[in-house]
Amino acid sequence: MKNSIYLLVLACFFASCKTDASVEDCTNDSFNRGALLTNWADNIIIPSYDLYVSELSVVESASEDFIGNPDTVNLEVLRTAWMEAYNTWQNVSIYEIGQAEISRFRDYTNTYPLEVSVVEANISSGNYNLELSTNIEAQGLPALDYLVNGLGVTDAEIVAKYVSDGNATNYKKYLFDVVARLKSMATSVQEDWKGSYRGIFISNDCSSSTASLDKLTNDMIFNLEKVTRAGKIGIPIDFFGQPPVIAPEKVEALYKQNVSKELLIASIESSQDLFNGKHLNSETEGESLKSYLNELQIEAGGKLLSIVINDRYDAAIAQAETLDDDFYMGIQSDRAKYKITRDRIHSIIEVLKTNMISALGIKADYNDSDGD
Amino acid sequence: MYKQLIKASLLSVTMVMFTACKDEDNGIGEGPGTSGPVTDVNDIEFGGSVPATYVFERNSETSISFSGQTARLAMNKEILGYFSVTSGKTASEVEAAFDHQAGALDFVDAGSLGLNDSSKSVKSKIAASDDLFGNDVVAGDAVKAVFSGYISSNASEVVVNKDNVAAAGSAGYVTNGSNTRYVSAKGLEYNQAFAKGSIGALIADQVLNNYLGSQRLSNSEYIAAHEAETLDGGNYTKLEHYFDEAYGYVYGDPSVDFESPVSYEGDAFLFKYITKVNSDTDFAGIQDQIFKAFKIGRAALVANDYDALNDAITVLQYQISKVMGVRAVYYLQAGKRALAAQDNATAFHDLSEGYGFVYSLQFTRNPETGAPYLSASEVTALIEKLEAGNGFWDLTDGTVLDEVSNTISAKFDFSTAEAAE
Repeated sequence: MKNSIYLLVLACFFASCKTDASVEDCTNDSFNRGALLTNWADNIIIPSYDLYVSELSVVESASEDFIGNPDTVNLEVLRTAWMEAYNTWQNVSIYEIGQAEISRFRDYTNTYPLEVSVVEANISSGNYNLELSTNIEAQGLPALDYLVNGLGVTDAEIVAKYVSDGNATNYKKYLFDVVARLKSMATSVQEDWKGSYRGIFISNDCSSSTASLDKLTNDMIFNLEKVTRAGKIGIPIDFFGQPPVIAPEKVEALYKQNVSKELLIASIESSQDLFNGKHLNSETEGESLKSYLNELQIEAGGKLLSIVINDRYDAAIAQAETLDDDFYMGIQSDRAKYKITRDRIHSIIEVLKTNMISALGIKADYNDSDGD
Repeated sequence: MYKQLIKASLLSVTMVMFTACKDEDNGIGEGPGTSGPVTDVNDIEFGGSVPATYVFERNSETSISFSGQTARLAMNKEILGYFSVTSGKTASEVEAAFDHQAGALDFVDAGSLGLNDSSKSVKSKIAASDDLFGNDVVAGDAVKAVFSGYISSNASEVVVNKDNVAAAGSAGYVTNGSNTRYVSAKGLEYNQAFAKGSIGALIADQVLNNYLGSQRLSNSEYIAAHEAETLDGGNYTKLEHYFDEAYGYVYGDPSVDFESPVSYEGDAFLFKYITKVNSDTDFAGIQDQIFKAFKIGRAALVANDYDALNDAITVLQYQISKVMGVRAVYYLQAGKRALAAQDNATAFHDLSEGYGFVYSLQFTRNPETGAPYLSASEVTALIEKLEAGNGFWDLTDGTVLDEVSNTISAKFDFSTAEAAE
């Protein structure tokens, strides 16, 4: 008898949720998720793709100028364009949904460390297909880093690879192909958003594991955890190593070497801006995870949870500001400083993954072990 | 089979339901309508055989492992030693040991347990249970900060004043000729706050709200794996291991005969105080209740008897929580008597232990409700009463101590008088 009561209770529970989901309102609260998704799409995601694609167009024309006339002046112009795009990429990296997810946009754009041996083999053979996953580690923004910063110690040496090297023609071709691939992938995602995907994204405004808000929130946390925390700091400092064996060659933008900090901070800020619904390149904020939490009046430790979360973002950025511009040298001289920054980023992730997603009824779609 | 187990966590499940279906009045009323959860080990109905000692095997080899718990108990003991005014440790060295990272040379490791190489730490498991903190890392972080605060305040207030006589409002030592205690400006010994507080925040929280909690033991995936005898990194299923990790926090001190734990030997945490409460005639038998409940629960798990397992867990929730409740009241009342006798050294030591046990009560688990016997805010209110003004110096007339004691005993089923001596 006892047990049947429990079963009944349980059955009621599932039934009540299900009915709820299929009839009038498919979320558990009064918040308008569609408005949030619209703000994300129209004021953050699509403008970010627009900016990124336009910056890649600058990269493209700069690379054409350089290929047509390889000299140190054109090299510097190309380099500057590459860095602009790399900065904006930190933002675009978060939105691994829709066409981006299908095409593995992030993997093809920014997998590092670069496999230099594969790059050089591709160049010397002149025979490669960058659409193959075997070439993921030989393309993207890291390959471009190598091609404009890593081919020689001085700019003259780099330019020489495109002028007097026996493989000069192939170097030019590889540069051209890497840029073309970067741009074509970005353009196809951008066009998808501006075509049918925006509507699909916004109308999928329910609460479920496949709903847009649930998915993109998971993407945001995943990006902060795996791309920002682990990729940019945890892996180069060998956070879990026992004893740690640091790997400075695994830092982002290895060949440029003095921009790792800038890219790290851009990555954290992009995450915070998405959380706050902050329009791209504007101080205006629209509906967001922050306004969602505030509408539900979610608190933690006696404060609004959204304030707790922003405090943690701010603390991580402030700590990141203390790092060296050049992580390659920095982690070799003071690993501890990097570890603290990594832990500050981790503390954002923790509060997003526990307090925030449980308050919003979002289920984590990836797991990590509990360390015991 | 596991449907029965669900009732154990019915209340917490119900809470989750209400969160999930906030706008809904789904008509779920009270929990179990018949008799309440089992709290006496003799009321558990289990048809299988229960070994005389805590020995469980698979293929003639032990299926028990709790080395991580043994390591954390040993770390905690060393950290406590670092609170001594003569340890020579700086606050940051003690904090580093508390937040140990694999490879850091934080510990003497007299028992050669490999503590320095261990990836375990005490801090990571303070206020870190799935059931209480799985959805609220901010609350967990606040508790961790309280413990880090004990460490830093001990260094900045107590150690620097170790040669000064303490007085109301100033830190230093209090002595009665036979004992000298080093206290804060409010009379608090931070090492006692840390030690007794960690019995709740580390041990009870991990035992009752994590390893024996509903997120773990009611997990249908884990239950299916257990029934299929899928081994999980050792000679045990995941559920068996969780159960033993709970056991290890109680009996895992390396000096304790864990198969047949009678005396607490070198243990300084929960097991020690189980035996202390057991020696009060009002609570005689509680030690046996806890040990037997662990044995029956583990045997029931092996037999896939989730009803009996669940009953064993509710017994453990009730009895282990009670140990902390009794001990909180006991020390507050002992402190009251010593204050009346104008023996501040004894009084402040007792009150510091009581303070730690009061703090621990927010990590207890009432089997009737699935929630702690006292909420975090109720505990905070009691702590504020003990700390008001000049703290222990202001408690001499005993009224506040009685008030706090009675608030606590009213939450349990013992009286202040029963716990007092």
